[in-house]
Amino acid sequence: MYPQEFLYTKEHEWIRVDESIGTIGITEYAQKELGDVVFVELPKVGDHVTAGESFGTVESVKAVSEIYSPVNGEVTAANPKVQANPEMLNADPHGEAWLIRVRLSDRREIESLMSADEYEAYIRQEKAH
Amino acid sequence: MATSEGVELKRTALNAAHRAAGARLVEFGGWEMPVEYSGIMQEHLAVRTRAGLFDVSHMGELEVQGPEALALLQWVTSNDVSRLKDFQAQYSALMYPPGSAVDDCIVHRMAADHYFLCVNAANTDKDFAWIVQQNTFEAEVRNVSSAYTQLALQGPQAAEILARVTDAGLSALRYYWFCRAKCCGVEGLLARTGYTGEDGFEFYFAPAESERVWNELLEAGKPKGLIPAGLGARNTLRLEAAYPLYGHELDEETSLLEANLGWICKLDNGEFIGRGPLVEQRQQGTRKKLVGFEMTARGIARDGYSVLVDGKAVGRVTSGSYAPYLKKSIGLAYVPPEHAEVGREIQIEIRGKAVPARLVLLPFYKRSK
Repeated sequence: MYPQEFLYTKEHEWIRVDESIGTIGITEYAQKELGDVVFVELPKVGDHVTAGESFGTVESVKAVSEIYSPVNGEVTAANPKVQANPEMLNADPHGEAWLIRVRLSDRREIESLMSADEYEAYIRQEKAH
Repeated sequence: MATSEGVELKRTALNAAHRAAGARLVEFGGWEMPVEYSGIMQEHLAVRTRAGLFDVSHMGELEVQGPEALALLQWVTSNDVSRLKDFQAQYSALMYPPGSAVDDCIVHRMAADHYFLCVNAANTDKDFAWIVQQNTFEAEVRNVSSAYTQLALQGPQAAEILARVTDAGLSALRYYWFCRAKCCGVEGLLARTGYTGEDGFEFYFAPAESERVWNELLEAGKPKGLIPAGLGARNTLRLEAAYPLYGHELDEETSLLEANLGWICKLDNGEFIGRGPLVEQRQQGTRKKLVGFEMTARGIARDGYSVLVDGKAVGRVTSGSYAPYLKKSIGLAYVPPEHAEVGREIQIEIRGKAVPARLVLLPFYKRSK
């Protein structure tokens, strides 16, 4: 369910890092919690994102949800397909419906994020609440 | 599950059935209720194009009985109860002295001296206490909420589905009328009412056989595309139909005229609580007016967002959402009357940005007969 090559945040974002570029999205758990996604707002190429701070918004029919960046960096791409077709986030949150790509300021930042196994243990706890 | 105050939530007789069906359960008005099953979008579209079944047992039921029942109801409600015939229902409001609503409700006349009120879940205790306090007429008032399961079967296929499991003559049952009927073998009250903007029925019956009735209705409706629907879809459906929701469009500070509910006010037919201020407002105008808007740029308005005219905040969004059937972002808001005309360009402040929107005619959605 949760790809081993991704790292995860407590706010239910994932990041896949290739060299100095990180691809960021929201997790399967997050899309399920949100329900039908109808609106996605993302930063522009060249914008800076800050670790732990909101870089965009995902709205379902019933709720507004901020998306938090796992890392510091500069946006190199914002997925135009997911902005035009927000429902993609429900169908393929770990794949086609990635949100942004960023050039990482410091690759070491990702060391504090959760592995797939750690994230799965974390959401089991969340569900037990 | 408990609320933040640690108070136990009330559960309907169908709680286990909802869990088994994979519903997401949330707190609503002191109850643990299904907000969605397969997804709000799918459930909303099912009700618009086929049918949906809602458990609305959280709604309260009050009975008013006795020779003085009519006099009490004429005093506490805004609409003219004397116009009802046996087994006819009426949309109305329980009133506060300034002309605002204690709650909105449906008054059903069982007999000239016997009425059955359906009220909002979160307001049931408050409504009951208010009616009792106003009862100088010595009518008998009872809160019978726990004696009823209430199901709402809504959608263009609702009548055809229900016909398979009821002995009631549905073609003779007109909008806002009701009858005693058996559905799935269980006796109850069957009303042609609803909160979705579609044709549909609400069935009130004793909770004992709730699960069987629920399952048999779903089974009977399966070939017609019936699915269970939650409070999430109920909210987006009522918003498209521009029906008010207490706590959003209605509260103790908003007059019925401001809420476009002049049509349920018997201003020229006897005294009732709040009549004086309403008559005055009819002559002198109100300080705010409920309007509908649709976003003309990307963005979704949500409850509490500011309405801007020329960059200045003039009002507040009371309900806002993406509308699944209309496929646009819509909302209801209060603005001063001078800014209320249809076609006016406004802005909604969404996360610090002024996003353009336009006032439109209500309702947003009206079914074709």
